[in-house]
Amino acid sequence: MEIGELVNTAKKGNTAAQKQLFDLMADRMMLVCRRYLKTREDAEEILLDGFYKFFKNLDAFRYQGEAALIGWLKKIIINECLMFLRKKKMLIMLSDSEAEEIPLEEDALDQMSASEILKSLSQLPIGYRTVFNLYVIEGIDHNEIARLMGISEGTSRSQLSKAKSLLQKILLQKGTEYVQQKTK
Amino acid sequence: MYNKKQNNAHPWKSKLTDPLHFPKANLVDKNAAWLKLQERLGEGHRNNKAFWYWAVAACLLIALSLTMLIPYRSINHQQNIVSKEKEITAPYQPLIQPAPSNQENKIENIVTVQNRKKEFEYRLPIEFKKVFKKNPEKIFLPDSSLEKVDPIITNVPINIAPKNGTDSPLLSTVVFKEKKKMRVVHINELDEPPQEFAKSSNKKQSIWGSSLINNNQTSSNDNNNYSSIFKIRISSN
Repeated sequence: MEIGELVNTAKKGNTAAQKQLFDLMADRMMLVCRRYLKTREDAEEILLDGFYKFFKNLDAFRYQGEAALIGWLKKIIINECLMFLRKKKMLIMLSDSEAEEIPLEEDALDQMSASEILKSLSQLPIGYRTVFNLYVIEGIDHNEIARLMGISEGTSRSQLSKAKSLLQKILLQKGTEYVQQKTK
Repeated sequence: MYNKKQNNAHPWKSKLTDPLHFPKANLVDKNAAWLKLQERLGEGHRNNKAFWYWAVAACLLIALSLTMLIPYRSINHQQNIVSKEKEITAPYQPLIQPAPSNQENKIENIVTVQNRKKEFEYRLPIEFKKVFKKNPEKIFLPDSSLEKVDPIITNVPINIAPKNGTDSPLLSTVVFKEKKKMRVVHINELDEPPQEFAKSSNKKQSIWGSSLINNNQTSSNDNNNYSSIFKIRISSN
């Protein structure tokens, strides 16, 4: 069955169609949750919250292609993650001072495995990581990030540059460790 | 909305979003997660159902209790009882109600006027007739509709709605007590009291033209709150 048909059947409350949709999207959305939240348990909880909202509001959704469906679901999940962080008072911005724009060594990231990248990202403080995720991976601009997180645009910018510089340090450390391992 | 600087040329971003690049440990156990989700979805549905069941039950209960209460209230209203409720809301309200039945009352339709004030000095208002027609057995005269006048109008004819079993309405007369007015008069000016008043040895004689005063009631009520019971004779046509 095509995704469009699945959505229409799931709208009618068909459990089998709902399960198929869940199976199709769960892994991808779990990765989104893992990028924003530190523990696997939190990520699973938010994933279920997001899917619950998704199925509850599916009636209001007009299917216009798979990308639109994924985009909508992703938006729900990201919102749930941000709400969770705000509720748990984890969304702390470390410093509001303006930092200079640092270009990220993306070639180094390309060489790493997905799990390693995720591990590196999880080492960033929550504020940095959230802004980094929203700007670099989701592609949302600072204005929207500021609205979503309830911060100023300047704070969003400074958080991003700090995140990049910290990630650079982490990558450098990983690189030296890698070189050291190779030379041994 | 979306930043223009985003560079999707690097494969590390797609690695992060593609589940195939991750080991299973990083992903979700779909079956277990689905069971939890299904439970939550079903729970929400059940909660909705339960809400509607309770709402319907509450509505039925209210409807039932209303149907039980309304006839009770109407029966209670028809009964000729001086309710406590009326005493609380209007403690000084005069009431007219049928006197305890005896052989004499049956013929003459005697009604009792009850008032806490010692002197009963009211002019009969226009509304009185309407009220009397509506509910001949129980009449409430609100204080606002009554005025103290001098002299008191007596022998006012009132149309009483026909009771069950009778065809024509009764034309009755309510006789009110005249206002007590202390005046120094010469002994020769005093008239003889009417025979009706003179004969009743067990009844108190008030000033000429007054209504009959029930001795039994007044003696017991004189001491508390100045309440007294007046009997008003109504003669039918």
